[in-house]
Amino acid sequence: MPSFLVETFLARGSAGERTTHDRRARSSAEELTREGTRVRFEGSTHVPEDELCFFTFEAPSGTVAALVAQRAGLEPLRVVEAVSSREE
Amino acid sequence: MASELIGRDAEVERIRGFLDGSPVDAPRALVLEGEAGIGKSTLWLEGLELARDRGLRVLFSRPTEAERDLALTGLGDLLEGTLEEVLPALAPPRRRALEVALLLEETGDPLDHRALGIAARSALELLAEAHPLLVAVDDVQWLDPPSTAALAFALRRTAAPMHLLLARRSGTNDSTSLESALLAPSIERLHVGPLTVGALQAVIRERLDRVFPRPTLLRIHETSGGNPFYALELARALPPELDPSGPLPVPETLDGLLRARIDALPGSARQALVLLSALGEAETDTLSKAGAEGVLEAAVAHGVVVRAEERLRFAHPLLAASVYQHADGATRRSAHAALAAAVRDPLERARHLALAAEGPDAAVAASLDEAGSVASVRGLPRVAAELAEQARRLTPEDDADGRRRRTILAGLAHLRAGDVRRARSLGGAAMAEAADGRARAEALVLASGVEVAAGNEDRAISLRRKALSYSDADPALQAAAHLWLAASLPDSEDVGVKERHASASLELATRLGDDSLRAGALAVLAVLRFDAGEPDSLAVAEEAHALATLGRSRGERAHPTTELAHLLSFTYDRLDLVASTVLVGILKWVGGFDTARMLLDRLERELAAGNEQLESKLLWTRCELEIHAGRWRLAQELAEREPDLLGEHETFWRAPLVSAQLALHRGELDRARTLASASRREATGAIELRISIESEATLGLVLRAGDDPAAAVAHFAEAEATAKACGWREPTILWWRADFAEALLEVGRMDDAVALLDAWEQDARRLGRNRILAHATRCRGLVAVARGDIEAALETLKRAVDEADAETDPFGHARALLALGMTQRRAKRRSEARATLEQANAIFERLGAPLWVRKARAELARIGGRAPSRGELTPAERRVATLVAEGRTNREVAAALYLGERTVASHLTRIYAKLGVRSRTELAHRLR
Repeated sequence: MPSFLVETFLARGSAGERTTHDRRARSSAEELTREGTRVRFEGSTHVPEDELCFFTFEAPSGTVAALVAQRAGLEPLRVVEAVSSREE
Repeated sequence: MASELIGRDAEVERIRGFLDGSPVDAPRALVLEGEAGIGKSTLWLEGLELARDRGLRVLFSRPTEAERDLALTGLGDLLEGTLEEVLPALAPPRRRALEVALLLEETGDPLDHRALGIAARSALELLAEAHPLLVAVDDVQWLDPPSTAALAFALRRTAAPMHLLLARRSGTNDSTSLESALLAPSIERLHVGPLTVGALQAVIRERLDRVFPRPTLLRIHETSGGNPFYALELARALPPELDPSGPLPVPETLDGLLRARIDALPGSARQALVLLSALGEAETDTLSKAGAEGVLEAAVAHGVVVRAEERLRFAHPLLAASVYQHADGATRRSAHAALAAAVRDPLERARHLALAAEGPDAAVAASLDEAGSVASVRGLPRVAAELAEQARRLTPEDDADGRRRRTILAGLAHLRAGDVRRARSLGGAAMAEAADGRARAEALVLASGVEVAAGNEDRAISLRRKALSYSDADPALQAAAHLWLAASLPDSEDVGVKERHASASLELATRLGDDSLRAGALAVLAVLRFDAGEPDSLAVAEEAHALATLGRSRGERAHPTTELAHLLSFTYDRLDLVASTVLVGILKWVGGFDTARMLLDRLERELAAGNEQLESKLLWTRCELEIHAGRWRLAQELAEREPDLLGEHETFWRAPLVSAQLALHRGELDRARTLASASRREATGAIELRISIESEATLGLVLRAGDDPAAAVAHFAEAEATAKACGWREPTILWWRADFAEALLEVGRMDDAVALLDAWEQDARRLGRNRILAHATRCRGLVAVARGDIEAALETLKRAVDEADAETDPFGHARALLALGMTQRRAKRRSEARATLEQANAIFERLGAPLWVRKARAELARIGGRAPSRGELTPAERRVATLVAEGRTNREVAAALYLGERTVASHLTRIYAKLGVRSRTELAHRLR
């Protein structure tokens, strides 16, 4: 299954909420999986200088990845397919 | 998430913290600084919402660049919605100033800027008392100067707690006048910086529903510098399909982007945008009249213009600036022409007319003249100056006379606006353009006005004399120049010269039928003739006063024949003040105390309210009047309202001398000497000699009271010589002569004393100055004592007692009694002497004159050979004496002992007399 990078805005002042966001991302993925659409939360990468946080989901499509992120309250800005070296 | 606040959490937190803080005893300000487009206004708007959520009342203004020259629009914005609450609560002069400023009232009187500043302060304090208050100005660098001045005046003087939220574009001034009005510790600054990559992405997504690949996003961020406005313009212009590795296929400058955006609109909309940019912000009604309202819908749809109720403005000032800058000359002129026909305010209309003119245009120049007069009447000298310059610029080349006249008017307007440098430059141009004597005279008068403003009085006098040498000069100008010279030539100038100028002015003014100039000339003549001891001076002063007040009560404005004469003459307000103060001055000397008091009451009520300088001058005039009237305790109370006469603030020139007299009579010789010496040192300008005379004479009194008659004689002689050189003959203003004569007797110069008295009495008899005659009679009695003719002395001194009016001149009466009692004692008529001296003592005590109480008691003690009584202070007196000897002021003693200050002063009078001391220093020494 492909992986998708979900780009979100994480203001400097909210950097401490990253752990909470991770938990919600995982929880949202598990919930969608229980509902019949298999999604797995792979992790997040925070770029504090840019106030951006990228969440990686293994999902059947970018739309599903965006849905998972929205349900987790992450307000996705952009979703693109991602290929990581781990996969290869 | 609202795009407006993305990436601004820290800034919003700062604003919250600022609003949550409570200003205690002064306004506190937060200034948002940053480049154009960075998001200051967005934060500022959030600040307003946060303030309203916290229950603050918000007064706000959002000036545009185009509105910067529209006087008082900012103040009007701030007070919108509050006038019903504020106006009824203001004192009449302040209410009127605000009504005139905000065009709620039509008036022929110019705007009183000082009263407006005070009104602004009162209004803010009133509103701050009722609610916590936020005063907010966006783009404060564009707040019009008169509004800025009024608010700065108010903020500098108020202790009312309020918040100020200002947004200022960096790269303009380092700080505005408004910020300078506040103390540095009460200002916080918040620099609004660029957004991060992530924040920009979020903003672009929110506003344009677009996101970009990282390389493109980074390019946008780099090109815009993180400026959200710029970034949005870039993002808006980028095509949907984009090669992220290539350069951005759009203009990379912000200006280029804005132009492209505007160019994408229909032509009719672009034309209408030029019109809106020339206005800044406009009501739809105005735009409709100019034919622009409907076609702006496209601009609204594209987000270039925003609509708020019945007003339209650009979505961002940078858009307005771009539109206006890139419009060609013809388009701009067309827009201004349409606006000139659409706007209501005559000053705004004139501004647009000037900008619509392609070249010289006689009709437009004439309209600008009229608008300049309106601006002058409204008390907007800077606006008047700009309009005058525009009128000059648009004067057709073949109208040399018109151009010359407008050069003079522009110079005059700049002078009134305080721009001496520009006025001087125009004065030079006026001289170059002057073709004949009349024109040259006007140019010389303007140049002299520049020199007066620059503080070069001598040069100004020389130029005005030169102006008068042109016999074909305008008669009103000649009359005004004569008047100015009569009033402004220094005391050292021959009084005959001054009188000739005043008479020439009067003759010309009468011939012209110009009542304002006539009243001014009469007022100046009255002073000159009074000083010279002429019998008709009071009548002349009364005539001047009647003429001036009649004009004022009829609501007339002075109508000089030429604008330049206006430079020299008076408006009725000022003329009324001049004529009234001249009359009060004369009445004070000749004993017309009740009439003088009534005049002062009226001046305070009608002209001085809110004018601190004038209030101070009238206070000291009243103080001196009450000294003359023998109401010394009242005079002392008045003087205590302005105790700091040796501080740095400017004060009425007579104040230190009046205060010196009061100090002298209280027995505070050191203070009296310090005040008189300081006054003499600082004597400058046209009245330098007058101040010098009064200072020398006061020093003479101090030295005589300090038992140094020889030194006193030297100072009195100096005063006498200078007064003679100035041509003074009025006996009342030569008030020191009684003490001078007595000092001369004390040093054995009897003949000189007699000669002095002869001259003094002669003039006093001629003019009916009975108070002076009584003082002179007293001195005659002392001459008889010095000659050894005691019987003659007793008879003369009894006459002096009878002649001195106990009611209006208690001091003179008591001095006559003192002299009589002393002589009775010498004649060994002890019981008569005791009765007489006790009478004198009682009057001196009532006056509150410890110096003289001591003299009387010393004489009483000598009856029977006893030394002056000492010791035996009452317990209360001992407590007061102890604290005073420690160096405490009367106020501090009063506070420490729970007494009134007057009670303390009364105790001190008795303490000094009982202990035979003359000052606090002596008292301290005695009690050691």
